[in-house]
Amino acid sequence: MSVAQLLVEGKDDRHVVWALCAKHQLPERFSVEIPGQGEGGVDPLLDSIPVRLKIARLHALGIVLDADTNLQCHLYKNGGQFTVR
Amino acid sequence: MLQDLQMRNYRVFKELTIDRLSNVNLIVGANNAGKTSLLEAIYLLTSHDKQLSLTSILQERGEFLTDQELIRGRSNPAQIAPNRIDGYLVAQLFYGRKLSTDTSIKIQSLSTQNSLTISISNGNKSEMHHAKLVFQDGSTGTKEKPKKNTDPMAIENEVLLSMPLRWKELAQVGDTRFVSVNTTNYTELANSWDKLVLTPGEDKVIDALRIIEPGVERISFTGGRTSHSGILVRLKGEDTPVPLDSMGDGMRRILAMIVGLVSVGQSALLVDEIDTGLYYAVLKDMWKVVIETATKQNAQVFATTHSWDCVKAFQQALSQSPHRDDGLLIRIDRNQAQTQATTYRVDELDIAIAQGIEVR
Repeated sequence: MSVAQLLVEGKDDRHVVWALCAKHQLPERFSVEIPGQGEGGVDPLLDSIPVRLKIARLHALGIVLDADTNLQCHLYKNGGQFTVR
Repeated sequence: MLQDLQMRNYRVFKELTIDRLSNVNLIVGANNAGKTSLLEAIYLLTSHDKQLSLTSILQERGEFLTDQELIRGRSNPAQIAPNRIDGYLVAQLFYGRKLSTDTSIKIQSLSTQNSLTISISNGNKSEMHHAKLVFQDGSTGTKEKPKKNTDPMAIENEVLLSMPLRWKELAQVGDTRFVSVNTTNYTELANSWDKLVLTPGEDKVIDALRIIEPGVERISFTGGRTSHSGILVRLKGEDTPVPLDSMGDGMRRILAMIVGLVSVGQSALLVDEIDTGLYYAVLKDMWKVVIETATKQNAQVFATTHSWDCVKAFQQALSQSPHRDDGLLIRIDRNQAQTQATTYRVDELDIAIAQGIEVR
């Protein structure tokens, strides 16, 4: 069994993704994960990317980041770590 | 210390490369991914007596013939007396389980420049009725190391002929040790203990036993030579010593493991299914002792597990240790002939455990 995950920052984002999937009748081929034990947020999500990329039989890893406060932000990879600037 | 490992044609591994190893290495992976085989390969590479390690590996897996009868699959092969073994099913060691002059096992480490090649020679004949198992114990670098001669072993009809086992020689100080689920026989444990008595090693062992039973004051090996008796424990406030085996499997496992670890010196301790018999709550303390002891004497530990509790305890013990960078989790993934090793450092394990990300 392969693994596919979509990472989001919080519960609201997860509901948006679920609603979009339902609206467009997408089959449930991936899980929607909130990194960081319920609290969510961008930092635990970014921290977890290098670790999630090592998951056994990982088929796909997607991320949804909230850009509403800074529309110009970009994702940077520094060594194994990711940051938003 | 091995900092990397490569092997070819050993059991399920057509090819495997691990670029990074640490002092304390926890190996995970699905059933039949090759975790125990990896331990065996390290054992063969690092032990001094290749013939003895090879036959003990085959015996541990029940890959031998006794009284002309295949007994592979019996519940506890280790309980069968070694003198009843007539021959070993040596083909099991080779990838594809076939003996051929074309396929040789190669295990090596570039960091220590150790290499071991095990191949089949049948002279000039084409048939395999009479062949020899040939060991080449060498160096990967240009600098030649002094080689220890290992005599070829005779094979008849694909069976490696039995040779007298020299169990006492197994327990050399500073030699690699293998602690598995079945083994830890009394004689071997008693021999190792004898060498630790009245040394600081004795205290380390007692401290480790206190993880499970805080009342332990002293232990003693009596003259009894059956496999499961003869180890007595003195408990605080009790006049009569208690047999160790009455205190549960965990005590014997911890004892075998720590005696092994203290005895290997700067060599390697290999522990198959390290959490067997241990309650989940003691795992963190067990790892603390293992990490502290191994790093202090610069020994290397390779252990396997299936358990998330064990991985979590490993991360917690490492995170709180001054030696947090001296541990590594290694996952073996095998898909048909493709095998891959994925490694996790402690900072990655911290995130994985905190977020419940699967690493096994």
